[in-house]
Amino acid sequence: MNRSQILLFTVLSLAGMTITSPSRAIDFSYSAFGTIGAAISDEPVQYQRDIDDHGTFMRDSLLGGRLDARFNEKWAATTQVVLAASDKEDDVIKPHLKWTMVSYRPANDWLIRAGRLSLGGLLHQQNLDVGVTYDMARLPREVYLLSSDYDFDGVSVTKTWNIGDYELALDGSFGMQKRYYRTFREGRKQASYYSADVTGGGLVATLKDYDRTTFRFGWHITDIDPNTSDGMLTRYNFIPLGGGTYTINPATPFGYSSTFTVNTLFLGAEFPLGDFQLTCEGTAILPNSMESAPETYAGYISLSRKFDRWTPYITYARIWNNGLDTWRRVKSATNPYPPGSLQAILAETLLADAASTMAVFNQSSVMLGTSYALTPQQKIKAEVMVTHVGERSSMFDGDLAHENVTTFSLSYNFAF
Amino acid sequence: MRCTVYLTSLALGVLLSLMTTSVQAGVVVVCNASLPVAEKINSATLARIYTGRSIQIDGTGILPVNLAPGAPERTIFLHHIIQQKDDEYIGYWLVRKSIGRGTPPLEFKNAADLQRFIRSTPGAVGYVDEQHLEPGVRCIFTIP
Repeated sequence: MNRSQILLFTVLSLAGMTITSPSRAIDFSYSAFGTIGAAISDEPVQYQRDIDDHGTFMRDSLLGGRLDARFNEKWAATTQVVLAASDKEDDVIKPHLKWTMVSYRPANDWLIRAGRLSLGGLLHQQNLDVGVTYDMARLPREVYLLSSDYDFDGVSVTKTWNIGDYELALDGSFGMQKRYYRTFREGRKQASYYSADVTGGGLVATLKDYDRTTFRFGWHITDIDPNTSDGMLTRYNFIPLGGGTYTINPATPFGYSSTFTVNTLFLGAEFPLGDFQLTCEGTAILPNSMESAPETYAGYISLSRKFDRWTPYITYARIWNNGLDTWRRVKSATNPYPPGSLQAILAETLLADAASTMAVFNQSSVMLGTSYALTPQQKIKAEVMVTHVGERSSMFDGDLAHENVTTFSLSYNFAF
Repeated sequence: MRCTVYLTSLALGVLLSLMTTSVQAGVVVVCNASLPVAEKINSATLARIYTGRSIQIDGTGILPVNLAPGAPERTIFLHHIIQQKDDEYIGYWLVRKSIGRGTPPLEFKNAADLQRFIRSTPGAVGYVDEQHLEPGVRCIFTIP
């Protein structure tokens, strides 16, 4: 039995144990949601894994099915499966077990959930897969970069307070996850994946009204244990060659760490501004002492306005971190071996891989798009996005610097 | 002459009532007859119940039910209680369901089915056009 099967069995068992003597039949409801999305850029270098000048449906398309069981006003269970691009290999579509949990609501202001959950943090973190619930064609990748990494197997406890028309909710959660990381190795011109066992939790505070206002602040802490023989690359060992040049130590090129900790902070707000709706979010990803994955900061601001069924928007997003200096040093490291030798060729590949696998981001995007609501449960979205890459962005598979990349996106989103 | 005017008016009235689908009387909030906390249900508590923020009143479980989208009674109820249009309400529950915070109230195609459910379900709360009110449910208040 794999992890997902174990989880489903556990949740169904817990659900079965909650049924004592129901005063009425269990209410089952099923629903489905999906996105058929196409994207194409003007750049042959792949962006966000799938987007290039050939066009793709892989980046945004998905199909989800959900079954809800309501036993009584306190107990419920949910399971959800999403068919989408795999998170552990390129160009493969696979089913993913997503929200699968038992929920217990002992009173109006308490909610306890156990199973596979999305921890939340970013404003649309938890409803990311349901494209019809927001107007942007694609939530800014600069900020939602790690969004797929917040599905955990664990427990969440929520306490709410009603303050007039507002609801203040405090979510505390703890769980584990097997997470997959993708890196693109420039030297070998190929992507590779490795997995890690992640343990973590967090606290998220949300203030929301019945309408369109939401404020959120969150903090997550995760402990990451890579499933690799050496652990996680954390440090580059440079040695001077004299004359201002240096290389990476050929005997021990990298330092590794068996585990490392990442703190993540979120801040988001969404509220009406006259006839417009303003949405802005920021996030800070703070690994401890990792040269290969330095501290990263990202944010976006979006302005939209509803005209009957149309909701046009404009968004600016930016991501940056302080890893450029280290990346430049790795890129500029001198090959210590005689040119043409086998060792030199291998070292060249190693140095290229070392630079390309560093999580360095220096990019910004402007998006202009619109959604059109065919019905409250169906939306068509279209967007043009211009991404400016500074010196380097790990969201691109390859060396792209000081360039603008234009991406067109069109999608049909539904839920019922 | 008087008879002609009267018959013409009557015919016009019948024609107009056949053409319109609007609610003729008020919308009445109703509940299961045995609900012990019925007197505590008002617009504010209904707003919390129908948006999933409350599931109980003084420890008594409440089960809200809706008419199907498009029903004029539903439009009046949502506007008066939650100040939302139908598409906004549907969108609200799409998000709330997506983030694992509950499922929307059960929906019924007509007042008869809704009231049959309320009569047989402890804790059930709903609303109907006053002219479709059936015996066996308890009236709480009328939305003008």
